[in-house]
Amino acid sequence: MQPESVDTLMERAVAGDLRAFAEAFQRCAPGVFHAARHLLGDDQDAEEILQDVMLATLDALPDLSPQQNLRTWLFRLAAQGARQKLQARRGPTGESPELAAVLEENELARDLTPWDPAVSYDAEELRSVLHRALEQVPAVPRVIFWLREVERFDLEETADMLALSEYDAATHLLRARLLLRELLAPYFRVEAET
Amino acid sequence: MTPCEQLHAELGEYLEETLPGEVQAALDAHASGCAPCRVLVTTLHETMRLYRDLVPWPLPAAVHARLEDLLRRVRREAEEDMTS
Repeated sequence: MQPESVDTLMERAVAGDLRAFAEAFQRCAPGVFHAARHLLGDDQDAEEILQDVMLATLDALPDLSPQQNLRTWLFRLAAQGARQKLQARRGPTGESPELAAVLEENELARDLTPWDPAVSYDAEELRSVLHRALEQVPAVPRVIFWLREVERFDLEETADMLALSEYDAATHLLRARLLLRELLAPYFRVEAET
Repeated sequence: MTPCEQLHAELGEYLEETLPGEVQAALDAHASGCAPCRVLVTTLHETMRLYRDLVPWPLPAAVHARLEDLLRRVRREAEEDMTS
């Protein structure tokens, strides 16, 4: 039997079925956590956001429309909470000055060696490579890339969640894509013959 | 502006595929014939694909355990409501 979709679970949740809510939330939780984690750079803060989002959504359930897109709602709340935390910190947002400087100096590609299609990593290794690269991207481009590329929100929704103009979100997104390409190149490029 | 400069200038929209069809097609044609632009475009697409195809990233174990506790309480309250 096919598992119920998050949308179907949400309809039941709005009608008062808290077990359906628990199941829907459980499915969305990893994405929400990692989005907050990418913006805040900290597991503990991201967990607080995750729990706040769950409690706020439970409170709001009776007033939500059954057609409310739960994923969008959860990510929007998480982004809002994470932005408030960032403002409260008034500190660095995890930006790496060195990498930011590299990009400003030469925003476009430096490494134009083709990638080798034969290079492959097992799933855990690949996840680790991708994770390490993503951790080096400054916070705002990183979370925009995550929302757009991994969570598949469109650019307008992504910009809206982060209270950015679509133009600014697009600029951050391109920056993240270019930077990740540079960071991944050593793992995938064709090695020069010696 | 050379085609290479145009591709670089419109790279964001090119990757999002939001350019007018004829501009997108012209840049596609350029990228297929220009080695540096082809590498840039194919490796950018590969970068995007690698993250898109990644199996969902799980919650850290401790975060997962604490969330499960919270959700268990939600489920228990739901069951108590149903039986009362």
